[in-house]
Amino acid sequence: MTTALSTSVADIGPQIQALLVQAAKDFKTNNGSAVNELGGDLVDAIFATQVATYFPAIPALPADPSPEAIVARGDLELARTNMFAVVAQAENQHYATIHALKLSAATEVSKVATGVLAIVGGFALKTLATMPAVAKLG
Amino acid sequence: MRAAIISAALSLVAVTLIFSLGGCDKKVTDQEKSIIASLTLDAQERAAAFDVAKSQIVAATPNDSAIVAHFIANQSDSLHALATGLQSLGGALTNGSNLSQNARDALSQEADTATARAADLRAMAKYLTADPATLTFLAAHQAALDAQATSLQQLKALFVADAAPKLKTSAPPTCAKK
Repeated sequence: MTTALSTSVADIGPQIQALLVQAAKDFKTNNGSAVNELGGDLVDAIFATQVATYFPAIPALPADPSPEAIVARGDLELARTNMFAVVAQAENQHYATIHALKLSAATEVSKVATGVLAIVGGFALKTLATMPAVAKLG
Repeated sequence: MRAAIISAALSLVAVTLIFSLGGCDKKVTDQEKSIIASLTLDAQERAAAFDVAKSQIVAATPNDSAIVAHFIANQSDSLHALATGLQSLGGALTNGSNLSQNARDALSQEADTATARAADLRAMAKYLTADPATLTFLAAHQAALDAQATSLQQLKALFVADAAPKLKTSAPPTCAKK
């Protein structure tokens, strides 16, 4: 049992890391959809599938456990803590991505505001130009 | 002109959508943030302290050195993973005040894992060493692991309380857990 758990942790950790790296790369080219994947579907998949399938509940410690039993439990605990670290890293990446998007969106807001001002200003000038008093000045 | 107005409107819609990303996550209270920050520092300190002592613990153990070495390596790796995970959550909270339900679930599970880890060390202690200096370190380490587990359980209880349905809700929840 000990060996199987250790092997699964060693195999699964890098795979999940690779998935996260790939999702981050996808984000650069696909923006919105990858953000949703990174923050939602991907983390859901990691958490629901990996934790539930590979890392079941920790067995109760016997009243007088052998060192082997304690170590086997320790393997499971390490696997679960590693998974916590991966989920937390995904969470951090998710919010960093959203933060970057919001900064970019703020720039867009200022561009839109400038555009709207230009349009309104244009209308105002056009209206002014048609006023008889102003036309006379021209 | 019409194209410019439509373009501006579409941009505003896109910007609104971007700002609403993460809206399904739940706000972390100041108390929860404070516990996470404190736990992160403690976990980093605990991992570093154990790094210094671990070879001494293994060396001072007379029997079953392979099993003890395995146990000590697991404890060390777990402490580092916990510190890394907590640090990542802290990083997430610098970019916002929310955590997803997944992160909350993972942290809640970690509370049980940390509690089990502290119990394991207590059960393993009699197999470890009789060296007085190492025993003194292990007693302090045990107390620190117990405190760590207690703080994580407190955080878990706060998360459970956050998730409990409130009596005075004006709108139905829109972000139910999958």
